[in-house]
Amino acid sequence: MSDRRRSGPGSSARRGRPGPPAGRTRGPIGTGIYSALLRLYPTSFREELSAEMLVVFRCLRTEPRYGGAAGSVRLWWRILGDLVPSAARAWFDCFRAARTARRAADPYPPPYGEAVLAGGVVWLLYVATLAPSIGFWDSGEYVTVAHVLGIPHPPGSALFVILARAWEVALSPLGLPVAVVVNLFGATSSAAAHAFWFLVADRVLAGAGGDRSLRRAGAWAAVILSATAFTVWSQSNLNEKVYAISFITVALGSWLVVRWPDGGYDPRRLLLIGYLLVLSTTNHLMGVLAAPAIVVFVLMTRPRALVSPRLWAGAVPLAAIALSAHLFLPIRAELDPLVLEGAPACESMGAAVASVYTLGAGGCEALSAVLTREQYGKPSLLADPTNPSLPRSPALFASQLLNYLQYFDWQWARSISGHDPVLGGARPLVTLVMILLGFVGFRRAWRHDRALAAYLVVLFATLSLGLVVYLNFRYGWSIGWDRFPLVEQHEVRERDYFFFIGFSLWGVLAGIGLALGRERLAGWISKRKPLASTSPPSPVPERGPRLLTLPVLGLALIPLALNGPWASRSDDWTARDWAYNVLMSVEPYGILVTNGDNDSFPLWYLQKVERLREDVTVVLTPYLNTGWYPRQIRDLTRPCPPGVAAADDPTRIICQRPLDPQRFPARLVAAGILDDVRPPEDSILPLGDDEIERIASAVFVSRDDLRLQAGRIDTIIPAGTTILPQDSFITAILRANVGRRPIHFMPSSILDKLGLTPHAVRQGLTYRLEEAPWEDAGDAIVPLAPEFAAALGTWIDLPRTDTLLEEVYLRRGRVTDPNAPWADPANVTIPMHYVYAHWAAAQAWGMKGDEWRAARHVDRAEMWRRVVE
Amino acid sequence: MLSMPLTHAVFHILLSLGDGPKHGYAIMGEVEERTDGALRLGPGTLYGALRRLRGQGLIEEVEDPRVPQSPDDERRRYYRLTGVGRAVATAEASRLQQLVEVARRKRLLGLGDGT
Repeated sequence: MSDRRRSGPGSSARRGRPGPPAGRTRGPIGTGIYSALLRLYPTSFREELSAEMLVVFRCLRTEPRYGGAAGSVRLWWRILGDLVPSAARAWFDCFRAARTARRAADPYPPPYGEAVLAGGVVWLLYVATLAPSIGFWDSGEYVTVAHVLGIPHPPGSALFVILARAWEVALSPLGLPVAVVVNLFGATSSAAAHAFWFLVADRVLAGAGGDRSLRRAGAWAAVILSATAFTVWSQSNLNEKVYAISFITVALGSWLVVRWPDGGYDPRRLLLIGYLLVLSTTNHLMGVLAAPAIVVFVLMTRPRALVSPRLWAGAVPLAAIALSAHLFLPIRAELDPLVLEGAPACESMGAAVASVYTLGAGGCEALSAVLTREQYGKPSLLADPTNPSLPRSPALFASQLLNYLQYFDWQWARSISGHDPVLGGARPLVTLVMILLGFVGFRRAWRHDRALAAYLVVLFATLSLGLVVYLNFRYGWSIGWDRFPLVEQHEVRERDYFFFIGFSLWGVLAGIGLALGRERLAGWISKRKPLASTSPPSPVPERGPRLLTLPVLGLALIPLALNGPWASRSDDWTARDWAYNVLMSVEPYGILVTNGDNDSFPLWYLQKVERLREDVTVVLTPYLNTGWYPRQIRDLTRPCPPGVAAADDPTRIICQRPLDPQRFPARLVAAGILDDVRPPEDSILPLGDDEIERIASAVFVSRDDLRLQAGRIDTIIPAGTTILPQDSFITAILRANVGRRPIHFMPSSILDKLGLTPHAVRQGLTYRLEEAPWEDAGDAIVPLAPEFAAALGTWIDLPRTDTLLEEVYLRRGRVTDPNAPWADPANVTIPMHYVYAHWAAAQAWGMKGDEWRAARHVDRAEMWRRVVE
Repeated sequence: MLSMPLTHAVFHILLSLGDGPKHGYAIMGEVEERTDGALRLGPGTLYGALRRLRGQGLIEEVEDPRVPQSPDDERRRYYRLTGVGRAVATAEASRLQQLVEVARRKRLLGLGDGT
């Protein structure tokens, strides 16, 4: 043994010295430092042992081997090397002890581990069926705003934008496409919500006296039936809306509130719930729909909690903090992001704050308009939405209820009876079973815990009937066309997504009901064999019958099979390819006038996220009826001043975006599309702010014929036509750009309204405006039969359309599979655009006598038509 | 919860207390000496382990046996084995002894010559 070791602490102890020479130190500084470092340990550890540890430290310092500078270094090396792992271990022990104590005092210890597992399973399902890119409707818009930190349509969804952008940044090392990352955001939120549903279902069954086996079976069945409900599934594997955040708010809020009594009615939990709900309003009002049920639950369990001054003293500042997320909107709006819907910039921060904290009742006008969704002009709850001058009739309300029932019927067996939209085939039978199971689940809760049952029933009622009453929809997209034949009388799309949290909740109740049904069956089997046992009957079924009835739980997997083909988005490139095909139809630096969500938002995504064909200016017609949008497209297309480039900040409106010749298809380049291309010298809308404001507020009926002259285009808009701001702005754009920039239109009634149809030449999926197409009629420009002009157009640029259709356009994934269903009946117009383009080409080739090419296009048209059959 | 076999540090701490009560610094010294400095416990590790062992009922605190020399003489925490702790330490020692016997039979260890 070395002398060094002999001089250590062992030597003194062995020599029988009763203890170290307490207080003999080389100096107080080291002890002070060590004393401060002991604060790294948990309080309980420190209070019990820090004095002892300090004594040991002082003893160590007295040892000769730790003398001098080198010795001090050795001592601190030893001390610090010990400090970090032992403090970590002490904290671990501390948390474990606290958890054990909590669990011992908890009447219903929650199965957190299994809940995480359940959420993980749901997440895997959603990832396996995740959309590889954007979808139609709002998907492209939300992916784009997440990427450019933009502002989507009202109410602006500030919380979504912030979280989705943070998520994108966090996942950026994975190198995934932005659309996939945002879709994963939705999938993960939804899966997390299901982890909370698992806990809620387990708690419901625990409160109803269920043993561990029943609780877990019920919770798993609940999660599966919820997660595979058609709308829940298809909203979770594509981030088409911002409701995934609302979903997690409702599920987490539900979990927190049903556990509130277990924790001794801790008022801090109510504060947390309140904070979550208010925070969720900065995403969308959907999340706050849990509030009525929460209030009912609190009133039934601990009503005095709601009148506690301390609660409100905490709630008010917390609500103020939560609402402050809205302030993202005016702050970001000042920086002109590429997507800036509603343009909620404010004259001052004070006005913005006033707007946020009065919930849009005062303060900044533009921000308030966004927060209150003013642009949608929602009719009164008592008015007929198809004609606000009429009252909301019982017949209309019955139709709205039928519409809800139709969507409910889609949930657990979507593929049965396929495209039959309303109560088709055997689907209602499955729905009936689900309704029954849900009632079984609810009945069990009601018999054991009235407050919990009341929470569930109020929550479901709010998310179903309450929404039907509040939303006051027009007639459903797929119902009532025989009695209400006008497009304006119907919703523009199916609205099942508004109800998806309610469908999810019903799936939870049905899962509980399924587990209870299986338990009842196992109990019945147990009673059927009394001779097998002399022991008194058990309150729970025996193990054997439970195993025997296990397959009953397999019924929960039926929606997985029956909804899978409809809900899956994997291999669905349709929207992304549609956007690519439309943009490639447009000439360099062209203007493309579009009609709505589906022919605009996917294009935004391609231009602003994938940075493809940024040279094209998309003009979304309905937005021209606002004051802010014309200003934005004006600024987006102004020539870049010297020393300034649009690429300086690809997330903001700066100036005209350049054409990138590298990203044009070689076939189009070979066809000469880039020949003689020069950047435009003017904005597409040379109007001042005042003039834009004047036009944006001018709606009038023309008393006389109006003459529209733009270049050599000279048309008449007949007297008596209602002229909207969009018509005036398009007219202004035409006057400024005919002969300077190529102008394209998506097929639309506005061409007819402005008398432009004779000048519209089909170019693939778009119409290109020509001053005098008849002058070029011949080899390239071919006239089409007048009887089909409404669908196919008046003229077609045959070589370009042929090249686009045959050599440029993308057609991948689901649309190439004749067995894959087209899940959204409201946008069958998309495949039909391809059908019309091929038909037009077929007709033109036929007229030219090329039957082989004509037949080929007819075949292609037929392929597209079968997609929506 | 006690997990067997015991960790190296825990077994050495129990061994140190095998011949009577000791305070932390003495345990630290004995372990270091017995292992020729191979196991050098720091204060945090030592007292963390002592705290856990006490929670598991393997050791207990006893009064400082020293007679105070002066009013400001610091009192120390002394620890000793409980009956359970002694049984656990014995069981672990037996287990190790069996292993050593096996090693001897397989000629992985010398027959008592210390090699």
